[in-house]
Amino acid sequence: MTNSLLMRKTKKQFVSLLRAIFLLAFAFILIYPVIFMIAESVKIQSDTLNPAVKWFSLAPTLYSYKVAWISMDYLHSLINTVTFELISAVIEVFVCAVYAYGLARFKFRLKKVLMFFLILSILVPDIMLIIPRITNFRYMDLFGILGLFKNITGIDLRVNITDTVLTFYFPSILGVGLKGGLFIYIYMQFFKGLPNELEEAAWLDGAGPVKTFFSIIIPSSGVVILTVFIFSVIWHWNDWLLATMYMSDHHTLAYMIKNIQEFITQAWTSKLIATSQSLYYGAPMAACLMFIAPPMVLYLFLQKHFIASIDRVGIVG
Amino acid sequence: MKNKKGGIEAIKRRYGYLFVAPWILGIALFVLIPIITFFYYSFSDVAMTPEGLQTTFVGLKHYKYVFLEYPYYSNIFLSSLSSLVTSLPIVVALSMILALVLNQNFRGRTLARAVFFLPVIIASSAVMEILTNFNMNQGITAAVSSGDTKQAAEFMEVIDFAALLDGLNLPGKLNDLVLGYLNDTFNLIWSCGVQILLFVAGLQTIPAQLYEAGKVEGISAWEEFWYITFPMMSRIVLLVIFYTMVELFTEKGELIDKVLTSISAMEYSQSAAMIWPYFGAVGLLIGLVMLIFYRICMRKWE
Repeated sequence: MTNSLLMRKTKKQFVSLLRAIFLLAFAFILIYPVIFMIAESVKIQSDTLNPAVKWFSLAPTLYSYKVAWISMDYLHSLINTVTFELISAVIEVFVCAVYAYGLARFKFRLKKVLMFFLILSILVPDIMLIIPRITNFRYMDLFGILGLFKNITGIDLRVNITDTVLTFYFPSILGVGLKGGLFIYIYMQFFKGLPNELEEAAWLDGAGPVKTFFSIIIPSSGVVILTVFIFSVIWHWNDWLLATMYMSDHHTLAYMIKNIQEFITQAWTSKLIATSQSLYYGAPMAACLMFIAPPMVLYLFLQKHFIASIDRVGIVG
Repeated sequence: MKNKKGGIEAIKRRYGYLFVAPWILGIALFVLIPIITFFYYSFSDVAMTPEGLQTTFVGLKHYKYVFLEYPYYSNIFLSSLSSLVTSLPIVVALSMILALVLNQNFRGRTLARAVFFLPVIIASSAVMEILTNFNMNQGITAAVSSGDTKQAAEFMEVIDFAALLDGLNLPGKLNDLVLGYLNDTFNLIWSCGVQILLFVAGLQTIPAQLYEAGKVEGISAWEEFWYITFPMMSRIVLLVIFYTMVELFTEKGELIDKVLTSISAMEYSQSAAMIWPYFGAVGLLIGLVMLIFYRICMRKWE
């Protein structure tokens, strides 16, 4: 009896050991660049020329962070990121759930065609759509109706919405913003997994589809909403393509990171940072760390809910 | 009864349209019109004028150029397609295994999950690009060039495993073997981030009662996976396969890089002529893989 108990304990320890080795081997690959960035970011200029210093500086300094902060105009860029990118990220989390519910749970004639367009919108990379879209934004128009109106009456009602929040919010509200198609597809797969009986019961109780959606579907989809929220926020946070193409004077953090070398040089030439230590290699690394820190903190804060929601789904399902 | 059900179906149909109506408008405005425009570019010469883009129809000229005169096109095309066979199964299996492990209860799980989340944050941002341009021995070699999309492959230069291994004094053959293995693993693990998170989310939606029932029946962990976890996750597996293929074909690869550079250089017609045949093939291939998986897995359990 005690023998088998001992064996079970040994087996358990063995499994833990295997798991630890397995995870550590991969974790090393993933964490290495971050350690590298941290080590680089605290070096002073003389360290980078000193062959004795491979990893850790002999006189660590946070000066790089100051340089990065000033060069990126951090607070201002952060505000831009929130107003342009993050708000549309949150919009997408909500509206894509609505559209996905319509596609996942209702049968209607155009559905197959719409599914084809959904796949198409996921497949085609943003860069291919952007050039025609920019023209679209410059003369905002619905299917050429206003353009026709202009041709007949000479009054141009088409508005230029480039460089405004609308270039981000408008496609997001319609579910075709950044990765919108993918979010709809993710929601659909999870909605299809929900048991039908729930909705049928709600229908029989006289709740309409809209009410069913809000009182049954949304409360039992905590996990997928959280997942889409995380992806949406991260991808919008990282997006530099739309930020570069749609706007000329509102720079987001991702745009700053994309062109970090340029902005450091710019800060140096305009004497915002001291000349002697301004152009060494730590500043871009510090900027990268300052860029990935906020989403990491957000994820750490949210990830515990991945566990908490098990029970909730269990009860509903 | 039958009548009533028909009534409900009719209402349901109408509500279906109600739910998706704004999205249909979005698809028309921001996807269909741009796609048609871009498709039209491939049949025309595009010129920048002060009034905007001016197009003149030239027929198949650009397609002829791409297929006949641009020598690398068919090679790039084929190598992009063949990467599917090698990468897809490994990425899907590896992220499934990692998700299962990360979903277990053990000390340090929060930290482990944070680490495996790093690719989601870093891989899709410009940070990756800065790191690849950062040569460890010489500091920054070149300023971050714009419009230059590099992949995880070149990340090896940053990590400098070669130097690490030299320190271990392994025999030459073994050294190469380990290096090659690490290189592959590195690329793989950096492209698994999103997939792991999707699988972890999927695992949360499996009702705990199923596992309890399984325990009562006394099934092994292996049976538990094949009879409970995998069937309950089949939709998520389908989603992950789809996502992985989309990522493989439309975000990475030589052809996509080539197209992106020619778009930045404003060669719209040529890039359009390059991308459309590719998308045709990729679309068919993705459809085929999805169909096969659907036939094998979904039917069995539904």
